[in-house]
Amino acid sequence: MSPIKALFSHSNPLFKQFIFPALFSLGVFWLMFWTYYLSWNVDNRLLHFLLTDVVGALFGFFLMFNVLFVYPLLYFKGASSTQRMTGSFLITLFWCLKEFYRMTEFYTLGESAFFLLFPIQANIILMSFGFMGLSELACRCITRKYRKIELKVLTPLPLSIVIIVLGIVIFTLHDGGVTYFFLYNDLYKFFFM
Amino acid sequence: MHRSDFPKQNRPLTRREVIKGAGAGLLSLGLMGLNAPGTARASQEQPNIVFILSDDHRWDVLSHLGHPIAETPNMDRLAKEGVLFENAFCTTSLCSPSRASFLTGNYAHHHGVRNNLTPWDNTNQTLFEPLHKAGYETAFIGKWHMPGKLPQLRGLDRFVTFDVDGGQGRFFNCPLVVDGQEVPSKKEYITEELTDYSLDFIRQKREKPFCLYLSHKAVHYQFFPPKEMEDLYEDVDLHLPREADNWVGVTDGQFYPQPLKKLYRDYLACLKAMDMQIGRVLDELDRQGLADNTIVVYAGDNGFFWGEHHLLDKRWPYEESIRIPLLLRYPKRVKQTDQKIEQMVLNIDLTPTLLDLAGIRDVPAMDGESMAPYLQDPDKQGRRAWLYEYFADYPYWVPETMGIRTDTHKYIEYEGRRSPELFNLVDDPQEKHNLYPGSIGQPLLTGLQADLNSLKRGEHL
Repeated sequence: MSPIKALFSHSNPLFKQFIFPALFSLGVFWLMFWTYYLSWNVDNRLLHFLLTDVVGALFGFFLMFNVLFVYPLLYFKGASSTQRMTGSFLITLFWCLKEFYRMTEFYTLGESAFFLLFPIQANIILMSFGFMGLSELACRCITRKYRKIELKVLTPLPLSIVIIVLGIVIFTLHDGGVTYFFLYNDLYKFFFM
Repeated sequence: MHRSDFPKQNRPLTRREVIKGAGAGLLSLGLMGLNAPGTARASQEQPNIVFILSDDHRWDVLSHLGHPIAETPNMDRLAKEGVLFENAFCTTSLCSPSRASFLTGNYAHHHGVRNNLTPWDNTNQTLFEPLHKAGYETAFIGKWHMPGKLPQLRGLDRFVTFDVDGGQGRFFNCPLVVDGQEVPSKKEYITEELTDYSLDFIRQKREKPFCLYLSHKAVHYQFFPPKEMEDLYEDVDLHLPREADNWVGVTDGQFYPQPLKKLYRDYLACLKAMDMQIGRVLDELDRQGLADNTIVVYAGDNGFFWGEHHLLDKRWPYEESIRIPLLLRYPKRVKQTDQKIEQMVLNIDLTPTLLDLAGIRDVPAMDGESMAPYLQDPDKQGRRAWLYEYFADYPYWVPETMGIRTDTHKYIEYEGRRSPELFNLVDDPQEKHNLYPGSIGQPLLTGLQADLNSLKRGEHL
């Protein structure tokens, strides 16, 4: 069997616990993304509404909160901590690369990269990490309660990630996000003008 | 198409500018014989001027134009007692550049405020300077919102503005800067507070004529209406375009993290609140007996998309974004009231128009042209074409744009990976069918590209 075939084989534990759940989640996101964008061309009023307003809402929701679904999926499939973090960051990474490429149309590479600190993007990235920490705590709690495995729930790393991310997100959202937006603008001027 | 395509301030004068300048020079020499040298003198009876500028008020969101929801009785009153320019445009669809264009009569590539990041240059001459020299008492009240420190505006007697939140100000409890001094807000809602300052200015006893430049924060995002009007349009059908959906505001480079319908309802309520305050200004002019000798102009700084082209916001060179509301009332000069004027007029025409109506002639060359002749003769030949320009404004995903708009067509060139666009505005007013580079568009292209290059060189068409 070729190495590629072996990698994607159902009997390969790596495929079952990491590759399949991660790619499946990315596929669902990809499908929602294109459904929303392509639905702009649909003329039928009802179908247009369903595809844009409904799928659009799901797409936005999944972009923000996907880690809360993907991380536990990977956890209970038996993925390692590195695999869990990598797999549940895949959608965010895809989104960041898409946004980066979009910005390179007429901004420099530096400016395009700096765009990832823009409030919406920054919060998507931050919340991904925060949800990883939160999911880890929740998964440990579920394992301890329902699988009756002695497991420490409140471990320092996920807990500190949750606390730090929560603090930063509160800061970025303070005052309706206005303070962070203008801080971001000032930083842009400092670095690029 | 690059920034270097544009001549700088010291560019060679065009033939039109030379003639204009020579005429103005001869006139001023004549006037200097009658008046003190070095001063700009107006004609015998100087009108007062009230210019009201709003932010992001789209041209067709006026009940006077049959908008199904908007309630703008006071703007309608201006249109009925004056004229409505139904083909009014901004030369750059973005707040700061457009505001600077209103003030200076010049394109963004001349006044230098190219986007919301490039600072205002204090060497720019605004309309206040010649007005002040001609004996006017002047006031700027409201949103300045141009990058950099607050300006040193020559010829300005009163300057009430705000600098919080990057100059955007706040709808509620916005601290102000009054003649350089920071003062707390007296009224909760900014539109009402700015109107109060304006009424105080109008009420002052004076011998001189006055010029009031009232620049509202409304109806800009976050579109906050006064609290008592929050649910005003809760249940109405919004008549949004077919291609609009609730999430266009958070897609590609549009940063309005709320559903479109919620934003639009707030926008309409915010607009109604501003219209009520405009009514207070008009009523005060009536009370003071000043209405007949006061030029009142109302304009928006740029347009706004509400889902058309799957867009929210402005910036792009499509009609919803570049058209502006423009109303003018001046009983002494408007030949026929309640009239729609068809000629294409621009934000850069405001300063030349007001100076023209005030009888002030010896002013430096400007890109804009006076609209005053259309008040007397609505059939007078207008401009054939004009230049639209937009300079990238980080982090918004709108490319640097140069375009030409004629009565019938629009041709646009973009920086970056995007192809040009060509629209027939007569057959396709919603700009859905790009004729570039197809066989239909090809015959038009050479002429439009040549005209665009002429406009870039500073020529008037």
